[in-house]
Amino acid sequence: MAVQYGFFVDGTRCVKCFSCEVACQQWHGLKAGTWLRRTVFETVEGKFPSVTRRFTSLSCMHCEDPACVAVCPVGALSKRDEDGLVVVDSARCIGCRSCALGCPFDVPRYREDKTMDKCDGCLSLGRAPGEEPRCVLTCPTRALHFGPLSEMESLASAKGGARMEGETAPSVFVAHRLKPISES
Amino acid sequence: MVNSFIAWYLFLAGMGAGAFFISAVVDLSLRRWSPAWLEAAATVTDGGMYLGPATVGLGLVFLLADLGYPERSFQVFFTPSTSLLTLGSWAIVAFIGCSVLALLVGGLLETPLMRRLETALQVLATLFAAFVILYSGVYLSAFPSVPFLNNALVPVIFMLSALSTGMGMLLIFGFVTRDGEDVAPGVSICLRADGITVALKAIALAALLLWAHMSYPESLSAEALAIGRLAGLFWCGVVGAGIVVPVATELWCVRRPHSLSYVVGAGAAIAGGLCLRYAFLLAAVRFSAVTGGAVTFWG
Repeated sequence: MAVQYGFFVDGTRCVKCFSCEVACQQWHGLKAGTWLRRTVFETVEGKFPSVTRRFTSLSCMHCEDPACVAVCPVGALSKRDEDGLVVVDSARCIGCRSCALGCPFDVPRYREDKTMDKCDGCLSLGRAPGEEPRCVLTCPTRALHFGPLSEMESLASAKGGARMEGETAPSVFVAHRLKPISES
Repeated sequence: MVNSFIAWYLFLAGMGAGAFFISAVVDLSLRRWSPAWLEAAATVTDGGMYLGPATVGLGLVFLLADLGYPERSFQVFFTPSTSLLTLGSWAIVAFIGCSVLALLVGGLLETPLMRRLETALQVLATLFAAFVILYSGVYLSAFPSVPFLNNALVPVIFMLSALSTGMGMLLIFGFVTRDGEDVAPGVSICLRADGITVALKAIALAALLLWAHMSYPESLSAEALAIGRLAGLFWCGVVGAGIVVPVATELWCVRRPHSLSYVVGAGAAIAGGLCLRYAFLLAAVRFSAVTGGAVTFWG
């Protein structure tokens, strides 16, 4: 593989506006109330008035060692040599749901046509090399970044972030504020 | 993720492969040596040669019905992959193919060559049956996101249940198709062998529940089975029908060789095997590494 691409999710900038979710849904034609390829997760820690709310926009982790690819019996899932993105060939998918069981991050979703669906880094929209996926382009606070993993690591390090943990080596870095705003 | 199709597939494939495995091991052993007890057992177990592939074939229908695109499932055989699902698919097809061919060859000319070919096919079918028995439990235990099933005891329990339900099917088949006097000695031997299988299953089940009870989040599943929403299914179906009734009737029949109560025990063992699949799949909880919370497993 040439270079592994991935995301940096800058939680210090995310304001939970859901623009990334909406952009993804709109561009990929996902019907409202069905499933999402990208989701903004929220965690709340502490007690009032020292409360920390963390927003993390996540989709497929495009893992370096993807469990979904390993368990797919028909080769419908593959990891691209060009950029390490994990893509699904819906025409091959038999709908056995093994990938969903294998993925530790609960990423794969099943469409109405009973085939698997997940983030493909907007490759199906014709995104050219060097361009960014729609969620990244849409984010109004520049909380989402996409590029070679080494660049994502540098961005995350500058914000005190770290790579997401997991045996499958997720290609996602995340940074958050360490303390509530009132204390930082 | 999983549903009734999967529960029925696991049950039928396990029972069918288990019945064939018992039948084939007895039959192949008889070709080497023929002690009286083995010949007696064969009067009960020989039906597994027919019942095994038929039951696994029926299970395969449930597996295909579960797929989003069953018509694409043939791709499994043209895609180089070492995934357990691929290996299991090959094993099922190879098992059905070899066992049916062995039956056909055995029914043709009675020559030494045909006899050797039949034996070779039967040995292959027995190996594939063993794989079918083992792989489904191993497959379910391979996913860390489902901690209750992610351990070595689950494949062991599924294997023992496959043998027990398989024996149950053979006992009922023998009861229906043979004269009671003819199969009585064989029934006694089969009941003793099944008693050991059921006892081992009970020990493995208790060990799993105990381990799960002491670990989190596995304890959520253990509690659901022991005292929670699945307690009725677990205690009446898995323990009562799958362990207590078979053992009780087997003990009764070993002391009274002409009693027919073993048929009730065999039927209960089969029902218990189905309950076991449902109970495990319903009790298992899948977790997301992102939120740490439970996500859909059944349904």
